[in-house]
Amino acid sequence: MLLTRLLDTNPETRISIEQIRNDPWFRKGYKEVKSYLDDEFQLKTPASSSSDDAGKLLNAFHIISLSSGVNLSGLLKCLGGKDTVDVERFVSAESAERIMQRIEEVAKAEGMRVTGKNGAAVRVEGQNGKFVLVMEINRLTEKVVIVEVKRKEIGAGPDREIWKLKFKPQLSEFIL
Amino acid sequence: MGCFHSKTTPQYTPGYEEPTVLAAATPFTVSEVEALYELFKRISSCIINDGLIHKEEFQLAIFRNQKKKNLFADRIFDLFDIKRNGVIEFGEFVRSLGIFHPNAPVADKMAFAFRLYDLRHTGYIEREELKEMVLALLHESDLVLSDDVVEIIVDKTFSDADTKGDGRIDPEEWREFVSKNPSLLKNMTLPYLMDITLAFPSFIVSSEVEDSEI
Repeated sequence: MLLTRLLDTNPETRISIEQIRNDPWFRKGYKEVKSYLDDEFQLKTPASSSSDDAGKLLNAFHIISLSSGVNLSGLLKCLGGKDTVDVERFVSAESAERIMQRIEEVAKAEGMRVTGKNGAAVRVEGQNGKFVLVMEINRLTEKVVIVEVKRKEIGAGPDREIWKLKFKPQLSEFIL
Repeated sequence: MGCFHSKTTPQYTPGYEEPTVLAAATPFTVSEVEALYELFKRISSCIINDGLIHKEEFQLAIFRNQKKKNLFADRIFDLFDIKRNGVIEFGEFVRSLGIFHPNAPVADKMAFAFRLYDLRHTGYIEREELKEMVLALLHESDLVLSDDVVEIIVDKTFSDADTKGDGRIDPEEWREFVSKNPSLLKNMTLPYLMDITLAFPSFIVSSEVEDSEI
C-alpha cells in the first residue's frame, strides 16, 4: 500500500514521485496545480501568416519588451518559485537553421532529447526532465538574428553547469 | 526570501484599500487581492518597513538587486505610483497590477504600454525615445549591435508605426500598430496573476491569509 512504499528506507525501491501521482489514493479529489513554469517552456505555435503579426522581423518594441524591467518577471521569484529559470540572449549573424542544428548536435552528444521543434524554436530535455532548455530565434534584420535561451535546472549542483560547459562553448563562434 | 516581517496584528498603512473595493475595480477576486497583500507586505518591508514600496524595494523585488538602475523599471515604478508621491501604496499596487491580468481590457494594456514608452511624457513616442529604449535593452542584456544595425531596426519600426509620417507615434497610431502586431502587448500580461492562489500554493500557505476573516 502507498504508505509502506513511501516509508521504504531503500531509495532504490522506494516509490517515485511519478508513481505517487498515479496512485489511486493520491488521485482521489486531486486537483492538478499547474506549474507557472510550464508555460515558459512550451514552444509557441508558429505565427500563422494571416492573422498574426505582419512581417517576420522583430521590431524595436518587441526587443524592448524582452526587458525584465518591463515584463516584471522578477515578481515570479518574489512569489516563491524555487525552480529557477535562467534566460540568456545573444545576437548572431549566423542563420537560425545553423544555430538550431548545432544545439541539436550538442543535445545528442549529451544524451538529451529534442522534445519539440517548430519554425525557429527548439526544446531540449535531459537528465530525466531535470534540465529543460528552450531556444527561440527571431530575425532582427536581414543579417542579424537574436537568440533567446531559457533553461530550467531543477536541483542544484553539476546540472547547472550543462549550459555553460557543454552548450555555450559550442555556440560561441556564432555569437556576435 | 529573508525579509518578511510577520506581525501578529495587521496594521494598515496609508493607501490601503479594502480587498472588496479593489476586487470590484480590477480583474482580481477578493482572495487574490488578499494574496497580493501578502506579496505587497513582503516587498514593502524589505528595506524600509513602512508598508509602502520605495524605489529601492521595487528594484530589489524585480532584480534581486536594490541598486540596479533600469530605465524600464523606473518607468514602471512611475506608472504604478499613480498619486506621484514617490512610493507605491497597496491600492496603487493592485490597480496597476490589474492591468497585467489576462482578463484586463486590451485598451487598458495598450494605454499603459504607450505611457510606459513615452519616456518624456510628451504624449507621443518620439524616435529618440525609441532608440534610447532599444539601447537600454541591449545594454541590459549585454548584447552588442552596431549603431548601423540599431538605426535600421528603429527606422523600420518607426516607418511601420508612424503612419502619419510626422516623426512621432501618437496614441491612435499606436493602437493601430498594436492591433496589427498583438504580440507587442505580450509583456503587458502576466499569466500567473490569474488564479494566483493556485499557481503559488506555497506562498499562500506561508502567509497569514487564513488568520484574517473567513
